[in-house]
Amino acid sequence: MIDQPPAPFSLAALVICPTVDAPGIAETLLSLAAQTNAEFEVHVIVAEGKPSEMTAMAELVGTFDDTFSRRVNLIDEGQIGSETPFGSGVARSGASYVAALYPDDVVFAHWAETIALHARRAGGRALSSLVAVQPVDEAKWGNERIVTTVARPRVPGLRAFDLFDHLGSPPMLLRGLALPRLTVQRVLVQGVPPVAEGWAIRLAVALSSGIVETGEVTHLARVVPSAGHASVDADAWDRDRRLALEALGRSGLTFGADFLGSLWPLGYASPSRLEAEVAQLRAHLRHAEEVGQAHAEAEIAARRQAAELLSSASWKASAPLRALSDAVRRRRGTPPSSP
Amino acid sequence: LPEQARSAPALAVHVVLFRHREGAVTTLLRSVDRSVADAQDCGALGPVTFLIGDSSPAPVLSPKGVTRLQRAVVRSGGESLAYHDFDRNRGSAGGNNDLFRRSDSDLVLIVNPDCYASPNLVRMLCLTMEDPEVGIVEARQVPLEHPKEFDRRSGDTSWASGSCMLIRRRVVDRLGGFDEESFFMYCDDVDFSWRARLDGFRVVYQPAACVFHDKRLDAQGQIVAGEAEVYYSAEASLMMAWKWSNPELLETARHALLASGAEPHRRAVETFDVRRADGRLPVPVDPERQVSQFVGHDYAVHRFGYDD
Repeated sequence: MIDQPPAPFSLAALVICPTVDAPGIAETLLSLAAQTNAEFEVHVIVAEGKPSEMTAMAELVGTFDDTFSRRVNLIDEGQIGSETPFGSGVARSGASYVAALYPDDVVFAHWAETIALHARRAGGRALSSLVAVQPVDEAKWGNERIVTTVARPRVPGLRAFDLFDHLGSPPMLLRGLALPRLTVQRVLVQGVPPVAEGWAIRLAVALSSGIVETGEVTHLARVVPSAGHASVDADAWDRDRRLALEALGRSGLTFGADFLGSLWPLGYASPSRLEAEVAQLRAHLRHAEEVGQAHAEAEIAARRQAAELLSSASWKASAPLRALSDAVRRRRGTPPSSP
Repeated sequence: LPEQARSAPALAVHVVLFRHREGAVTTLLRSVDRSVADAQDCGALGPVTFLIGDSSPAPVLSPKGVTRLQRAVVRSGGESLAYHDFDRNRGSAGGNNDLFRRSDSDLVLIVNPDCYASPNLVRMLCLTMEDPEVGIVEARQVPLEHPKEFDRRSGDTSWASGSCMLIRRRVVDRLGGFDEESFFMYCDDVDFSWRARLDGFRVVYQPAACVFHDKRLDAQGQIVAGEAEVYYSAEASLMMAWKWSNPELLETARHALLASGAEPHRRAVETFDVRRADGRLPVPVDPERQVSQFVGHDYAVHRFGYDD
């Protein structure tokens, strides 16, 4: 757990923008400007920001009304010296919580309000909200580039953080999370490959501060199905994940320095080996649960039978016997049995 | 006004309130004000007035709040802002009709109080309206876009959503505004669009004009709807089927609403039946289906349904 006293709540949106030309960035900003609770910082991190990109982004921000545009801080990633755009945003932010947004994202109007509400009772833990995913088409419309939705948004079911699931999962972004900044700063360690950053931060934050599910859909990720997403190179991901785990283990900030090393790479030759063992453990667990369930059902049945034996029906069945024993008692001068 | 905007069409911005937060109204107006300035800068728009109607039981805006908004509007180059407390709930149709009578601007922008205008919203809507055949232009809603289909070249569509639409004054004059007797809220916009199309105007979707509309999803991915929305949309669905000459759909919808077992649905059917018995329903129109389009329970072809 965090050893610092909890800071008063404040929130920073870190908009990670690879290029100002990114489709959807204007709508990401629009959704931030339209929040029901405007008490949050906005940092737009222009990754690999060339001067022309920074100027174009400043112009885009400047098109919004002053009360919003004044709150937006443009960050040229190259000038911060952090390893990653997200790290640059964290380094520049002073808020107690940080949340990453990407140019394909829009947030619902209650995004900031929901984070504020839950953060106040989360005791310094990270917050995870549901992310709806909606397929869109990109097209030209005159001189404008537009996106058109092509199917309804889908919301994946609520799933609490699971260590083993996470260890076997592919690279991921920090979409849907609001993270305690101090915790993030501690787990932003040298040596984590950029592709593994989101995965590593989610893991480290889950283990060091814990993650609370808000259960609210606050985030919409728009995907272009026709664009085809780069498939994950399994070997490269094995290597990057291993490097990330080693870096986190060395840091010793979130768990003992050897904790992750004991899981990886000493005990397991490869992620697939680990995943196979996890699958086997799960199968055992499921079997044990089934056996337990069968025992529980048998016990319930037995209890029900015992209860029936004591019911009025069984009393009726034993009435002649009771009458006989009452007659014996009367002869002996003892009181009769109660019905 | 910038020089290039002096001969451009005048605009009235309508906002009808019902128990909204004062802060939300301020945020909306700031965004519209900014968007208006963008449209004026490029010469697409002339002078602008803001008309706010309030259907709430208690006024949403305090006198100080109104003064503050008026000053802000004038400071940023707007003509005026007027706030009208309706004293009763006029619904969206009645509220907008009241506001229609309070200006004679060339164009009217109707925008819901739970919206936020993108910087180029007004400019893109106004540029689309430069085509004299266009009577109504609809903005694209974010985060949840309305799924009705539109012509991918011309933008023509079956109807325009009243969450954010730009209307040519001539359409209002010819149609006499919304049919507030038949539609309190919900489908007043569909009916208005179809009447405009029946009168020869085009109704156009402008996907490059973006407005943020505060719609939310529940954990199952369904749009969150309040009880009033359930009731009034049910009532409106019956009225649409009646008014636009679709008796088969009317009976289907009536039975489906009753079969749903939902209390708001039962009440909606009851209200409709009483009106029918009292002879208080409008005269059916468009028997030849020149413009009306019934696709299941929708009024256009939809690319998808949020409750699929």
